[in-house]
Amino acid sequence: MLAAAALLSAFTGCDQRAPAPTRLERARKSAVVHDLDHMKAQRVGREISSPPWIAHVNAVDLDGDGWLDIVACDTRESTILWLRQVARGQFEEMTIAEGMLVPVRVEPADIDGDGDIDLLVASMGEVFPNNDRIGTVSILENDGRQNFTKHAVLERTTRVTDVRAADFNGDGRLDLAVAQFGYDQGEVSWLERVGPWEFRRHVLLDLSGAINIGVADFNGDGRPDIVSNISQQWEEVYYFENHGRGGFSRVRVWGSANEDYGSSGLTVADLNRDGRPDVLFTNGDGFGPAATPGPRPWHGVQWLENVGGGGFRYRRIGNLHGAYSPVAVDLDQDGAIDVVAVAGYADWSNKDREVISLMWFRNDGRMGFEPRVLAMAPKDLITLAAGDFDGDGSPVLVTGGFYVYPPYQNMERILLWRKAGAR
Amino acid sequence: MNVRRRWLVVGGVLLGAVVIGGGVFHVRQRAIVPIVFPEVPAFDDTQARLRAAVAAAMEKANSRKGAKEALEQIAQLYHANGYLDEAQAAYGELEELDPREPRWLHLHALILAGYGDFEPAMARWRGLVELAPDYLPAHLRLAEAELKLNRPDAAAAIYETVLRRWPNEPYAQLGLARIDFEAEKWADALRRLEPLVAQTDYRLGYDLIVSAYEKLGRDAEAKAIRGQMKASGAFRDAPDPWFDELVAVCFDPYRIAIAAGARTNPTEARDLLLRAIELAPHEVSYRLQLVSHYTEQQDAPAALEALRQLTTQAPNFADGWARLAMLQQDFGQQAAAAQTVVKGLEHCPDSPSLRLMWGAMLRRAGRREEAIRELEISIKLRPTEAPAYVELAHAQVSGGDVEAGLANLRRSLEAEPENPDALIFLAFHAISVGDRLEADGWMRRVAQQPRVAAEPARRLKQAYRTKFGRDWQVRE
Repeated sequence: MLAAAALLSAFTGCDQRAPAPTRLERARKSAVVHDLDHMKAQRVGREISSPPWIAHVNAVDLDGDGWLDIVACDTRESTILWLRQVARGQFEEMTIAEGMLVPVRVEPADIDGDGDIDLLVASMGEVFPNNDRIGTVSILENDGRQNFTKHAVLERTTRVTDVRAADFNGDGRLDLAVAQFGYDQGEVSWLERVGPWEFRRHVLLDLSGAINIGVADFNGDGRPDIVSNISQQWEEVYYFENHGRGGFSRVRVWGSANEDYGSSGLTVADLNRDGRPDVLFTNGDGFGPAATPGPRPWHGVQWLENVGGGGFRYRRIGNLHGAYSPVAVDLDQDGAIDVVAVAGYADWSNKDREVISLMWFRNDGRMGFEPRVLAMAPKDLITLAAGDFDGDGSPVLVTGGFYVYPPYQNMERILLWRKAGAR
Repeated sequence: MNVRRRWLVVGGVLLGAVVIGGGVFHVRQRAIVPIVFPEVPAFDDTQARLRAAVAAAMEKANSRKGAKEALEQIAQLYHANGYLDEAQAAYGELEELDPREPRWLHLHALILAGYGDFEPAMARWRGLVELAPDYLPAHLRLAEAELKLNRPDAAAAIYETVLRRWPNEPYAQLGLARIDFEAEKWADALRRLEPLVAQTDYRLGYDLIVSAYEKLGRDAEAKAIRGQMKASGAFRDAPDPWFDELVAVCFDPYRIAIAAGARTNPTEARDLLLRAIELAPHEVSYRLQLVSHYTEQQDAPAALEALRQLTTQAPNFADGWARLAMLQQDFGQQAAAAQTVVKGLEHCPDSPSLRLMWGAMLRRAGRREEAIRELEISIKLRPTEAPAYVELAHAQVSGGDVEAGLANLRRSLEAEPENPDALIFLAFHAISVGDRLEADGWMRRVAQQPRVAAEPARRLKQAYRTKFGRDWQVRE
């Protein structure tokens, strides 16, 4: 009898059990909602004279006057900009640093502990592929009156894409964590503070393609840990657990088998509000191996849920061609953290394809995300920040455009996005 | 037979009947339950060919015999054209219908592993290597998955198995090298990487080997590789016939062009680009990619012909003219190249590349003032790239305007901090004016730039010796 059953099974192929179901929780296939009237854009700063290269925008009250300002990297001009909010919605743009060797990231930190905000700057040296050691980490020291003195603290190194400050070795002084994309060779490093403007470099990972750094106490031990996303052919996210006194362990917490996955941005936020910082990241880099950049079906936004003990669980949020710069913000102020991302280089010249440039993934409160298109122009936005610019508790977005591929149409430099009718 | 034993026999018979009956019922169920097709997505007007192909496949879906074949076609159409959710649903159904077909397991696993969902992907690949042990990509993917999941020992075991079966398999060697690299066993990694880069002509391992050399203090070897090119990025995935074949049913020319760029087989790459061009004859980027392909293959006649077609068909596309002129220059056809640039500028007066080329040509022809005008326009149009500054500096210095030339060289180093031509120029200048301190500084940067060719480096050292009466030596 059993033999007969076995024979039957063999005949029907029933011994080949279907593989286990997938655990991948893809974004629920809710339809994309076009919500193009939800937000209204306000142009801030100078007029466009040539295709803008704004690689990064950040929201910070630089002068401490109570109004949130914008700091930005003008990569074409190799300058750091300060768009000072002088009154609600009114901005004055000024250049606070020149000769920054192609800056792509500017982050606030009071490095010298004098109570004002200094700026950390990551400079690539050249945006287009270059494996030379042309990267720089600089600190712009604030004299308290927003006059800045440049200190290059790491020079002639692989191209630098991100820098953050934290006291990693517990000596009471701020150190730095650095993402170095390079091109064929690159690193993730931390720079140990050894003097007022002197640092000693420690390499945590020798791989090309590091894009961003995230710093948070991921394991709840009171020490700042580091995460970084690695693109190029590796397509991985690493977690560097801080064991104190400058000791780190390294573990890959996520990786893709798709060498064209296109990792493009990473940030840290407690997305599910469980008290543990999570990792939010985009994949939307559509450069190579074709002659021109363009969309991929797997481009989108996802998060690594911090499940404690150094463990992370991958969760897909949604698809977005050319996704960059994810931001966690409660955009509709319903108490659930939403995700907003920008998009670039997703159309090239296919004019018939609907191309999104600003997307809101609205959290339904149960960590389900409904994709809502906020804007389809301007094109090629690669940087996004959010903040309470109006001082009324409502979030305002700020975006920057970076135009390296024709057609040079639908361009904008720096825009503020408010809920329509908010002002 | 006691009562207890009788009941056991009866129970066994009943259980057997249930097992057989259940099996038969299951088989019948699969035969009579309709195959579940994924919902057909809404295709837009640019996807008419895909829509037609899906519709043609779906026509067979209602016939009892053709339904499975239709599902196979549908799955591959969705996968090839970027509808990954639909493809996964179809592959899942095919896995149920045809669990002994390894292809569906593999293609489904590739999608899953692309999102880092390795456990279900590995379940499929493990099944696959039992069903189709000769399919190399599945073994490599399985090993890669183990590695990505931080299980280097398991990954190494699979890579070693691959190498026993396929000696010198390059991706297995790369995988083992990466395991050593991650363990910071630099010498072991190097032992694998040195033959690998030789075997693949630096297509694989070019990235890790430089870091390994540097970790071991073998800077000269690292520098030699760094000096080979400004940026490589040569890595391509291992050939994967079942996945690669999908492109045959792709109707999106951009995706076909991506597939072409990812191919290691030049004939396949060319044929794919020709197909992309056929699907989108007015799209210049595929034609330009074809030119790059012919150039990489050193097929100059084909590249020239493709460029002539491109400039005829899209005269407002500046890169076409620029690439044509460059190729003509490479062949020593200076007059033809100049004609091409002039003609290109008639159509594309705002092209920084053509302005730069024309400026350089004018300078070489001794028409210095005109050259300077062209180069200044080029810089105005594209201030972010070093070559125009360097060319302008040459024109200015040769005309006696040394200060302006030096200023432009400094600007070139803002655009590209270690531009080899600018460094050489500045070093020669410092030597020529006898500023040894300045010369030492530039010489040091020249020495640190791996892309400075041997001959200018030799001439620089000779000039230094002649001027200062001593050899220049690296001083840390």
